[in-house]
Order: sequence, then C-alpha cells, then structure tokens
Amino acid sequence: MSETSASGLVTRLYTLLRTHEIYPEDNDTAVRTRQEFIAYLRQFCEGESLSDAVLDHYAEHFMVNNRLVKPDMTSLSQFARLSLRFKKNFLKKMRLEKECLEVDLLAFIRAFIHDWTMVKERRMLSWVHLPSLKCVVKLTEDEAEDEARIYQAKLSNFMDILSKMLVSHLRTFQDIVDGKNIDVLVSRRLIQEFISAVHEFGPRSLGFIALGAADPREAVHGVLRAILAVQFAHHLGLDKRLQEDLVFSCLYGAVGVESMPKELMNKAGNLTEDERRQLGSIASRSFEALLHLGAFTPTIALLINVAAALESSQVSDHPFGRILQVVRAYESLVSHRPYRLAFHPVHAMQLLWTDRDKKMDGAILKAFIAFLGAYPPGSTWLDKDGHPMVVLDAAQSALLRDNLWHPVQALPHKPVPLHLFPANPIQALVRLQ
Amino acid sequence: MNVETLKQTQEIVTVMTAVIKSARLYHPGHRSVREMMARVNELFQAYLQAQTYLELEIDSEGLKWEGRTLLRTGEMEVDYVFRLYRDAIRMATFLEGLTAAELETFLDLFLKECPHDQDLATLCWEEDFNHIEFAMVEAFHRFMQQDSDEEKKVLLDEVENWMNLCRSDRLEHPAHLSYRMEAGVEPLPPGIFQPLSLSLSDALNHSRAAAMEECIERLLQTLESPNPSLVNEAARNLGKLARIILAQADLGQMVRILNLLSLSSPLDAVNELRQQLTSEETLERLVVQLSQREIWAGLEFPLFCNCLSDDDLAAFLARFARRGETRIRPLYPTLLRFRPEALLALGHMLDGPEALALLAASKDFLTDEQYLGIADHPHREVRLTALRMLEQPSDQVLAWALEDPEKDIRFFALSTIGRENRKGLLPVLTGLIKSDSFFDKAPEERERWVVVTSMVGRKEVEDFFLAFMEPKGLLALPRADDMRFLAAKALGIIGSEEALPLLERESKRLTNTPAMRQSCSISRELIRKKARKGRE
Repeated sequence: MSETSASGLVTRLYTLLRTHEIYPEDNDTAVRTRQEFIAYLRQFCEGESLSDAVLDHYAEHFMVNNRLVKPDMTSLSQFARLSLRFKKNFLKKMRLEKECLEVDLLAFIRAFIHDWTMVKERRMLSWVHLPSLKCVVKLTEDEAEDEARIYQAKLSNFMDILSKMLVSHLRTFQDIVDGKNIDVLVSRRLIQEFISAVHEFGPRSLGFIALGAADPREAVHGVLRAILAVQFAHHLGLDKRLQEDLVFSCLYGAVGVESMPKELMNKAGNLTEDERRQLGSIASRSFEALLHLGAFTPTIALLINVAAALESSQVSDHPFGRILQVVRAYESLVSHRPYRLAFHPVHAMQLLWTDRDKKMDGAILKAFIAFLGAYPPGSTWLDKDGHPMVVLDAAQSALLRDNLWHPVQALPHKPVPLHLFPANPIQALVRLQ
Repeated sequence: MNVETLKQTQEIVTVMTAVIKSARLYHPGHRSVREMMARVNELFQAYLQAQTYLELEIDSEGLKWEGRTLLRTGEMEVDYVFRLYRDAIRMATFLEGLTAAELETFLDLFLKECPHDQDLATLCWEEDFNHIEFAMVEAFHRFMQQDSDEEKKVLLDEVENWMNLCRSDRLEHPAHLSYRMEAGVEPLPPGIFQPLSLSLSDALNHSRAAAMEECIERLLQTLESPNPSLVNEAARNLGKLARIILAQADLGQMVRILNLLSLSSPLDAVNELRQQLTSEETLERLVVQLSQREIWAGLEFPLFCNCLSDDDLAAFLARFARRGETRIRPLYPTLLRFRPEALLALGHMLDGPEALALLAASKDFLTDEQYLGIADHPHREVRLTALRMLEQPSDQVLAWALEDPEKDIRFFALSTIGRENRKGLLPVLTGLIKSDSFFDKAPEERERWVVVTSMVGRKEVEDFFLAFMEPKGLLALPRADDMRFLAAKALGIIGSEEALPLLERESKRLTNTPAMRQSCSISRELIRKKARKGRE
C-alpha cells in the first residue's frame, strides 16, 4: 500500500460510509472497502507510531491525532460531505484502534447510516458499544462540550490560515512594490478566510501579534495589524464587507511607504525640507503601486484613499483612516523598531492616550482602549508569585509553571515587556493544558 | 437511491435553472419570474422538511446529486453551474430553515455581473447565508496554482516555518536596544475600560460608496499641484487608471470618470483622457467586451450613452447591431426618448432587421422629422414600416413618400392622401401628372395617381383635367390617348355637371379608342347619377 496520510484516512472513512449507503454490507464492494479501510488504518497508525487514530470534528474542521487536516482540491467534496454527516449525527470524535475489528467497524457503519437516514428514530451511535472503535456523540446542548477538542480545532485552523496569509501576503506585497500585477481576487479570498479564522478563534487571536514583533518587514506587520483590525471591527459591530475593506487597508495601505528609503522611514529625529517633500509623494506612489491590483472598484478606490489619508501625520478626516491610525499606532508600539524595543501593551495604551486628539481620533482611541481592556489578550505579565503569565482573553490567562502552561483565572500582577519575558508568549496559546 | 427523492431533487434543479434563465430574459420582478421563484421556494421547503438538507455537488461535468448528474455544464442556460465551478465552489448544501429571502438572494447572485475584484465565492461569503453552506477550494491552493511543484514546496515549507515559530521556545528581539518610557506619559484615566459603543457603520459605508469619485477627484486635484513631479505622477496614474477602467469595460466607472472630467479643461491630461475614453478604439473595445458578457449592462448603459455625442452614440450602437447583439434592443425606447438625433443617425447605419427593431422600439415615439431622417434608408421594409408607424404623417412626409423608389410606399402614401383628403398635396400630385416622368410609372400607378388627385382636388382640379381632354391642351404630351383616358376617369370622379357635354361628345366620337369612349361614357353616367342623387 502506498504512503498513508491523515487526509487519506478522512477520505477513506467517507468512502467507507458512502459505499455502505449504496451497497448491501455483504456485497463484494462493501466487503472489500471495509478490509481496505482496516488495512489503511493499521498502516496509518504504524506510520504515526501510535496504537490508535483519533478523529475529531468541529464546525468544518477535521483533526487527526490533534492535527488539523485539510482537503486538497480533489478531496474537498468528500470532506464537506463527511463533515455534514458528522454534524447531522452529532458525532464529535472517533477513536479507532490500530487493530480495529471488522465486526466493530460494521456495527459502527450500521449505526452511522441508521442515524443518518432515520432522523426521527432513536440515535444508535450514542449507545452502541464497540471495543475497538469509540464514538463521542453530543445530542443535546446540556451535555458537556469537549472544550479542549474545540479549542484545538480552532487554534490549528487559525495558525494554518495565519501562516498561509503571512506567506502569501509577503509575496503579494513585494510584487506590488516591484510593480507587478497581482490577482486581487485571490487576495480577497485569502482575506475572507483570514477574517473567518480570526472570528472563529476569537480575542485570543490577538496573542499572535507578538509573532512578528521583531520582523522588520512591513508586510508581516500588515497581517498582524489585520488581526487587530478584524477584532476591533467585530467589537464595533461592523459588517463583513467593512471588515474586508479594513483588512485590505491594513495589508496594502503602506505600499507607498515601502518605496521610500528605509533610512528616511526609520529616521528618529527632525526631517529636512527635502525629506518632507519626499515623504509627501507617498500617496502618489501608493496610488501607482495599488493600480497593480488591476481593478478599480470601491474596495480598491477606498484602499487608495486610505493610503493617502494615512500618509499625513495629522488626524485623518477619513473614517477608515481614523480607525487605521489607531490600529497602526498601537501595533507599531508593541513591535520592536530599529531604534527601540517593543512597549508593553499597557505602556503602549498610555503612550497613545497621551497623544490623543493630536495624532488620532480621541473617540476611536477610547473605544480601542476599552476593546483591549486593562489586560490586553497576548500581553505578558508576572503573577504575585513571580510566575510568567500571558493573558489569553477577558476570562482567562495562562500561567507557566513546571514548563507547562496552565489556564488560570487569577489576575496578572506586574507587566513584563516582551523582550524580558522568559518564554514565547504564543506558546501559552499553542501548548495550553 | 430513493427514486422519489431523485425526482424531487431534479425538479428543484430544473425550476431553479428556469428561474435564473427567465430572470435574465425578462427581469427579476417580472410576474412569471416571481411565480417560478415562489414555486422553487415551495419545492425547497417541502424537500428540506422531509430530508433536512440538500447537497449539490459541482464538478467539471455539472451539477450532481448523490453522484448523479442533474445538469451538464456547457449549455448557455446552465452556465451558472460553470460559474460556480470556475469560482472554486464545489458543493452547495441547503439546510432546513432556508428562507425565501435567502434563496432569492442566492439566485440573485447569478443575475448580476460580479464586480471585477469579486467572484461568486467571495460574494457568497459576504452574504453570510445561515442556511446555505459552501465547500470552496481553499484560497491558498489558488494562490499556488500557477507555481511549479518545487515552488509549491517552498511555499509550504515557509508556512511550516511560521507554524514552528509560533511553537518556538523564545521569540527573538534586538539585543542592542533599550526600553524606556518617555517622560510626561499620562496614566490611563479611571473608567477608560468601560465599554464604549461607537456608531461608525454609516460613515464607513458612505465613505465606501463615495470612494471612487473621491479617488478620481483627488487625482484630478493633484494635476493642479505646483509640484511638477507630483503633476507628472498624477498624469501617469490617470493614464493607468484609464487603462484599467477600459479593460474592465465598467460603464458605471466610465460614467463617473467622464462626469468628473470637465468638457474643456485647461489640463491636457484631462482632455486627453476624455478623448481616450470616448475614442473610436475605446468604443470598439467596449462593444466587444460588453457583447461577451453573460449579463448585459444595466442602468449604466444609458448613462454612459449620455456621455457621448450624437454621432459617437450612433456609431457605438451601430457597432453592437453589426455584431448581432440583440440585447441592445430593449434600450432603444429609452435612448430614442432622450437622444432622438442619435437614434436617427443610428437608423441610417443599421441594416434592415436591426432598423426594424429600432422602429419597433420607436413605436410610441416616432415623429415626422425622425421618419424623414430614415426616409432614404436602403431597406424597403424599414421605410414602409416607418411610414406605417406614423399616426398622422405630415404632408412633407407623404410628399417624400410619393417619391420613394418603392411602389408599395408610393401606393401607401397615395392611399393616405386620398383617405385623409390632403388638399395640401394637390400641387405635388398635379405637378407630377404634368411632368414627363408621369409616364415612367406603370399604368396601374398612373391610374391610382389620377384617381387620388381627383378625389382630393374635386372642383379645384376640374379645369386641370379638362385641359387634358382637349387636344390643344396636351401640348407636347407623348401619351395623349392615355392621358385623355385618365382625364375622363378623373372627371367622372370629380362629378361636375359642367363636364357632361364634353363627356357626351367624346363618348360618341369615333376617332376615340373604344376604351376612351367607354371611359367617357362611364364618367358621364357617374355624373348623371350623382346629379340625380343630389336632386333627390
């Protein structure tokens, strides 16, 4: 048998169920499919050096052995169909032993198809007992949810999408700066998936802003700003279209800046007249670069206008510009710059507050600070006993003890800037117990 | 597979396809479309109540259910399936609870041209359906689509690197820098973390709606900057923008930009752009692109036409007609109402069938002046149809028609003159009878001509026809006998008793032809009969 994969296991499970929907269980095709599945499962477990395979399902996501599994272009329909069947059968999790018995597999198939086709009858999957194949079914809202399973699915998906966004946007941003045309449609699709993933993972997505704190590339910071923008926009109740526009502006609003000499952009002191004039052409350079998106639509026009609005150091009179000024300023303060280290989020808020009404819209800044809260998600602290602590969201933090991250509800005690924090704060999200 | 369920599924797909097709032919609010929409909703509700979901798969072959093809792509009316496939949607699952509004919104997506930076997949995401789920090819796959296997591996490795960075033990930071808070930093005031609601949606949506005009206006303002390098950059950007707008063939945008470009600007860049946007080359390109569109240009089309001069508009529309683009026809009435000169010019440029279509659309609007504009159209049917369409053709129109090379048209004009007793045309009628060219006409027509002249003229033309009866009155006429024959007939129609002695004499004169004698005799009897009737 050829190499196995988690994706292959999912598609074979679908094929197994589908075959038994069509053929009687004693039909040659059905028998052969069961045997092939068992063989594949065994080989897969051997490849993983595990005694079983655990398949989790949440929303549209499948996880195998705690790893997110995504379909490729050929298996998309199978994943979607299996996902619908799992949802309709309230099936959340399956544990299949390496030496899964055919009799158990057949009982599972019967119960699954029964529940799938006889929707008004009593569910079988919830009570059928199969030694080598266990199912977790959640029939009512009262039953306890496996929060860990759900969290893992959301986290894995978010990390996957975020990573792909970073990789694709780095390429796309550079292409625009270099004057090449890009496919704005693919960009939009990536942005939409990104927004969906940020929504799904919730406020904890802000904890990933530290990922690019030391990265000098504007494109990376664009993506991190986009996380902030989506969460803030969601908090403000803005609809999906407006969130898309904000993300476009975060990602591409600074293309004009990239055309400027780095020394000029990073200059800490006062600017000369000539330098000021150079900076004055950023808007024009942005316009030219953004035309490489190859379309002129409300979104692109808005993006061009926002890029021009952000060029000014004054408070923008553009509604989108006012939001983005705050988001950009905050993200910049919590990132390392060539001339200073990243500020702690609490210090960053204080700095922004000091400059309110001078450089940004006071009302929007207040709303932004209220949105972040006294303990912004992703911020790094020590607890009363000196243990490193990362705020996950408004309800929970993670405490590092004995090299493990434990969820706690205690309040943080002392802010610790990123460069002094003894661990990667993102680990608090990724390795939460 | 349940045969009954298959039938129900097929019916849903068939009616859904019919809704889309009809809504394109008519318009979404048309009665038949609304009825079909109600029907498909009914079918969906019944189905979903029983089955709780309907899963439709889309692949390169078409639309499938449970592996069975219900619709094949490749046929125009089912091109919505092809669009779904092209736009990376592989499955649509309709769930119990689907509302009529959701279904209508979903089907509406196929009736509109997608914005240039969107496709069905992105539009479906924005609609955020509660009861329709889509399985779409992941965007990153599309991003990598053009790359080689090696390049794909590089990208996937980079993705893995970012994931590993998330899991790494420490994040790097620049070692040589310091951390310091500036002096004078204010503490955050108490209560600042209280939830604060802001209503920004309206302002943001308004900003979005006005973005394109704002963008172009700013660009135009930059052209007036005292900074020459900024002016050059703006001019260059304006040119690039124009090329994009033209490539998109987005009439709405072209209208916006043309409205913003003043007709006589002191700026060369503006004037050049205006010329470029309405040049022959541009219009030809627009015609090609619009004709290739599945969904015809909507309200923007007449708005764009308004930006063109009469001649340019006529040429623009004629290009469509020559390509056999019939979707332009429903626009004729609107255009005719507001741009009659252009449509007149257009009438001349069109061939027979298309000109007839233009006339059909002009039914309620065609005026005499407009008729005269197409009175010399090379196609006979066009001229005749136009003439027939006029409710009350003027004397000028009828006079023109009398000179038409086509007999049917001349006859129609004569009938109208006779029926409506158009005395104003007597000079035209008698003028032709007197002319040499009268005998170029066929006998039947000459007779008709004389009949009409006498019916309309009556007493006024009695002397005219009497003169033809006398040999000396003929002067140098080549067909004296024919004319005398016709004149005798005319006198009978006129009915004046003063002609009786002449007709009596000529009916008996042996030097006259038998036909002439008979004509005089008939006319004499006609006059006597009329006189008797008058006395009674």
